[in-house]
Amino acid sequence: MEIKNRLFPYPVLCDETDDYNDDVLDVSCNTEVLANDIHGIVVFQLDNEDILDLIRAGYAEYVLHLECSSTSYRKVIRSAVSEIEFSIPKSRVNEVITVLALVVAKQRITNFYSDTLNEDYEGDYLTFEKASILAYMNLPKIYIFKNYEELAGNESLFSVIKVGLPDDEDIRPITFDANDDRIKILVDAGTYSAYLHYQQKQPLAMSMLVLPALIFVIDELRVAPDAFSERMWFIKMKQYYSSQGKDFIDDIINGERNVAEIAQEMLKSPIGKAYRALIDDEG
Amino acid sequence: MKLYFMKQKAIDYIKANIKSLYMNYYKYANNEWIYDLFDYDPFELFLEIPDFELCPVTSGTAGEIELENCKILYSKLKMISESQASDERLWAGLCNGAFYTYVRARWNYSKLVPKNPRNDASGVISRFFFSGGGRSGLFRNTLAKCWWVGMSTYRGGLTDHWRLLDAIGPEDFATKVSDIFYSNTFAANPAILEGICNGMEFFKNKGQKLLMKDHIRPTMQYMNALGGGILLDALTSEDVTNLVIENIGRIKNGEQQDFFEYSYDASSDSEKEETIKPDVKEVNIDYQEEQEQIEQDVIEIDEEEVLGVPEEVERGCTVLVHNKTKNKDMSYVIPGLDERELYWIESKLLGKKVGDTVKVRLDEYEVLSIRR
Repeated sequence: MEIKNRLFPYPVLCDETDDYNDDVLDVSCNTEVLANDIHGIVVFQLDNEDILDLIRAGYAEYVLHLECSSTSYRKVIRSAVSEIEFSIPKSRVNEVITVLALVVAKQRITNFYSDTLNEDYEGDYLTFEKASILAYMNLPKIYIFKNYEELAGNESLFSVIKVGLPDDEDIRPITFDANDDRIKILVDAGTYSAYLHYQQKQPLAMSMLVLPALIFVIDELRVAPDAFSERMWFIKMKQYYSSQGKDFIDDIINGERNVAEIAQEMLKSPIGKAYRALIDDEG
Repeated sequence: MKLYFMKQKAIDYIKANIKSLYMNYYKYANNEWIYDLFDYDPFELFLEIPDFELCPVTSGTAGEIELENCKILYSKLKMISESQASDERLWAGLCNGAFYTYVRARWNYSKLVPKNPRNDASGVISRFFFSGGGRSGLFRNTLAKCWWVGMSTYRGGLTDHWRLLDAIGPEDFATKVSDIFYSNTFAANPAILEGICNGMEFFKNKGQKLLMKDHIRPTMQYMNALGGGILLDALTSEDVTNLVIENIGRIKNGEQQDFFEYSYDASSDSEKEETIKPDVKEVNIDYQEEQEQIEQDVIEIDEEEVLGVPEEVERGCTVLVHNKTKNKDMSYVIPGLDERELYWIESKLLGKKVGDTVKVRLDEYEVLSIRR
């Protein structure tokens, strides 16, 4: 669960609102993916003394909310102390795990007031119902991708799929579909046969099939950067550029180069390599 | 019994060519035609287990059969992890392999008359494969649905492992599965689910019938709305039971206030899944059940009587558009004035009204709705 664009009927300490002046809830999260588990430690740093008093008095608590919607995994860990350790069995999750840190009312709280509340609340003594969210922070998601059976070792972000029955000789334009964990390149039977025939000539496959697919995807991302944020191919690309100190959307997709240049750079200039490979073969 | 999963490239091929292939599910009593499509084996061995049978399709109503299959499938396949069970390849393999004949019989494909190619093909995808993206496949696929409901409701260590599932009951089963398990992610919390089932059992024990559309759905909507203001997971199962009983009690007493369900915001944290409604016309009782299940996936945007519906796209509103070129719906949350810069499409949508179209690069978008 993530909390985004939500309006509460009571003040909440978070980045998205100014319900509290200058106060901050900062939460650090260190995770480690082990052989069978995902292990993590979360540390809350809350600098509002009035909410801290509620926690000390047992009226509120720190809560860590872990959720993997693709495997219906949902767990909350509650704590009176600011450090929470967690462990998630890898067998219980797949793809994306959202991590949400909160401070939650354990019971109904009346007559709450804080000097740092926004002036809109000046003079108001507030009541929080049980389970009210007093503060929260969305933490970075955890990504877990498993491979089973024939995919072991196959990390391709693209899949070439033949459209048409075995005896279909229609020529169709190549189309693309990015709404899956791999970017699908849909080709007619003739193109698919040629792809299989030349499969070993990777620069050729890259320039004729993958490059246009990338151009399509970059174009889509420029229009709607969030449309594919949960897809494996997007996450893998994002992680790759992150490891190089770049933001995939801001630095690459929305960079100064045009779409064709970006795609070629991502594939390390495949067109020239394809021609050179063909010339080498003829020679 | 050998259980096979279907290879991803085989799944991709069948789904990409479903318009040409869906009729085979109607025509062929066995799955030999699937093997004939490929020059490789589309299945790969996953597991070998003792033989078991699913509930005979003539043994009762569709709901009774599915409820029983929840118990059977989860009991026999308890060794599968949740991670494995979330994989389409497993369920496509079972539905198109070992249980091909069963799934055909369950949906009566040998007697069904195809009527609408788009709907019929879509039905094949949702029953034999995964469709809709996200976790929708878990609760739509014929067999995956039973395993996941079984997994969610099974309670080990008790005399009656299936008390929660029996509390849900077989009536309107497919719709209940969709409303309770699929549409609301809070049901993944065991304590919350237990509270919901205990609440339903309360009325069952009193001999009071609960109707899906009149009692259960509004209560799920109520809980979803409640979850917008508090953390439902911080409640105990007893708290949730009381909420369910109180809300259904209010409905039965005619005290329930009108409740507006409005959501379709891809960027919000709504607990509801976003889905798109296909045009489904029921053919027989099974299709009726399927239609009810699919119809409730429609996220209806009602009139916002409190603040009024914006007449045109403005900063801070949410716009639902239909991409005519790609034939898919998309939602954009237009940032407020103090927030980030607009994306290109967002800037083009500003000032547009419902029914207007904008062209962005090669795609054409029609504004379907605007809300705050």
